[in-house]
Amino acid sequence: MSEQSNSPIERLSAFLNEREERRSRPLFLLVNDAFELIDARGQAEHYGFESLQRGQNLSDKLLFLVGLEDETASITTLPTLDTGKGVYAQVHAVRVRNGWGLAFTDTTEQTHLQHRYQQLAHDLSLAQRELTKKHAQLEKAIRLKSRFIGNMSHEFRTPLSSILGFASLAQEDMGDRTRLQHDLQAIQRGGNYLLSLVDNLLDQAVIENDQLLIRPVTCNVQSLVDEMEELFHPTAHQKGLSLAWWMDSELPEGIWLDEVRLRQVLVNLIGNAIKYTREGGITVSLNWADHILEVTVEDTGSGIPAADLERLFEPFNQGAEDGKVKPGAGLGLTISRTIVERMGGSLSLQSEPGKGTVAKFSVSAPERKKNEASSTPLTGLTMVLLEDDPDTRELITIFLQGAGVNLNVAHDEKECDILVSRQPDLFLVNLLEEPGHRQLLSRLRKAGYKGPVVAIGSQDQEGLHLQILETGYAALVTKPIRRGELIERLADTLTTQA
Amino acid sequence: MMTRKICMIGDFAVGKTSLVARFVHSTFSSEYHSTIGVKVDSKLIELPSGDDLKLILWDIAGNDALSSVEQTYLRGAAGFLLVADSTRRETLDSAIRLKQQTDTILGEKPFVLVLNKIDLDNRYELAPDRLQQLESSGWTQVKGSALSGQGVENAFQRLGEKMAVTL
Repeated sequence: MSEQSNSPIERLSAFLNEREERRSRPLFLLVNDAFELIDARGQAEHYGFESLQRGQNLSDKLLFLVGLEDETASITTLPTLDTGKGVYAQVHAVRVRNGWGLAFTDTTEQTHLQHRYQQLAHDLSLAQRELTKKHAQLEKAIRLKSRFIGNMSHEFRTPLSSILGFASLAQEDMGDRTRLQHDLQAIQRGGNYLLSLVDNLLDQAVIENDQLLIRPVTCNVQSLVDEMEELFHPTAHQKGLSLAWWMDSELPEGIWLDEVRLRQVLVNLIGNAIKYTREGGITVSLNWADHILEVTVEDTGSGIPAADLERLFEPFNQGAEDGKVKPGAGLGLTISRTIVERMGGSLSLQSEPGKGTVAKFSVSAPERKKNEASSTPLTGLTMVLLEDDPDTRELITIFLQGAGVNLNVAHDEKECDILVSRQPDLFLVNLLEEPGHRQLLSRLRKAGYKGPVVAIGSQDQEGLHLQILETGYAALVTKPIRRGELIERLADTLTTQA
Repeated sequence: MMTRKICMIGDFAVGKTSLVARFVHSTFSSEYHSTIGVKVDSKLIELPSGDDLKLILWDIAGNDALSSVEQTYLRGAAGFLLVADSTRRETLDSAIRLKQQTDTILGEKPFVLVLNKIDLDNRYELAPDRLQQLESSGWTQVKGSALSGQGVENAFQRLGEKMAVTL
């Protein structure tokens, strides 16, 4: 070992000591029991001790020593003390006779690193918590979905078995007109119920995508009421319930609203009323004033507790009577409220357990006389129909030929080209998948056809409808095809095009 | 003048630093900054006897259990404020565990349980029967909000008075 003061080891040691001192910025204080300064060495100002003088009282700065007077440990270490100026220190406090010896070293850098790590750990913990919550929500959604699919399979089977059963009976009853009519009515009821289920399911998806479309037409309310009576009378009668209608004498013959949607809301509300009523009856009232149609469906059913009323508007929630879940998808009220709101109105429920429920809604319904409506007689017009599904093709053919249309049926796109030469007034074509529907339209235009082309689609979505119109189609007719709607839609289209 | 050290104890992010900031500086920040190590502040309160008591507040980093370092910070404490977040039920479980741990280190010292963030009443998660049970066991509880200041002075004052009895 060399004793030379300038040896490399000593120089290295001195260098490291100096560097360590620069980094740790040590401060040594000696205070008495009254926290009066006896001696100080080091970087006092770095730790917030300004202009230190012997005898100076530091009690406000040495708050951390309070309570430690009686500690038996010879040395107390505070690894990370916030000195209040963004500087963190490790403090060693040594109890000496009648006072304290204190050593401060800077730990700001490590503390900042630790802080960053801790903040990250906190953020991670919050993210994990959120993830756990989402996971639970997802599991609940999966459970609901599974239960829903199970319910719906059952729901579809009920009307399907009725349709298939009565269709089979109809074949046996061909010779008996009365029985045949009875069978066909049962098939129609089953079909209508099935349709309302499918409509509700599709509409829920459409509502979730904010694409519910309202398409007003001139609606004859009396015909709609007759149709509803025909639809629900058998079920009500079977349960021993009365179904009464009260119509305002002021109600015009024609009002301008979306008939399909109005029918859907009525089917949902009247269907619910019958479903949840065991005795008594259902009264449906229709009032019209100031171009507003107000409909009230009142029943003498089991009623709903006030706390459950709003819950019934949540999707997939089904009302229950005597704790038993009733058939249906639990979507009717949700969809009905959305439809009514989109039709410029509102829907509310009032109920008293044991006394019954009143469902009330109002929608915008300006008067529109039939001759005011944009209606062009179809008699004598020439049209071309291109539809893949043979049953739909046959149905449309019967409807249009019944309206006096000179209908040409094309079996493929090539036949459409040929039929252009007959200069039809309108093409009615099955909506093909993108880009097929664009190509078909382009093909017809290239062949020289300039008239309207109406698409037949299976979904009534606003996005789809707009897309079809943008492509150049004149209108969209959606399945199921109903005679009145089809004829009115085509007539409106021809008038608009003219 | 009497001076007593008290510690803020509770799970992370329950609002210990915010309660101290509200009590000492009458301020509140909605930004969350986790506490590292310890920050020491002081505040004078007046006891029912008319005497002043200087509280030395040790704001300790939050956790669901006290590490050996944090145990060092407890040395010399005359009492503590146990803090739970009323919107996170697990923080009450942490508070109960921390109380047991503190008792082991300090012996039984005066304390007050603060149920913080009571302003977020729509997210309140604490089970009433659990709180009832704790109250029956002698736990003084104060519902508070560092954001609005509700219950904050009261919590520190009650702890000060409890400690005064044992002075």
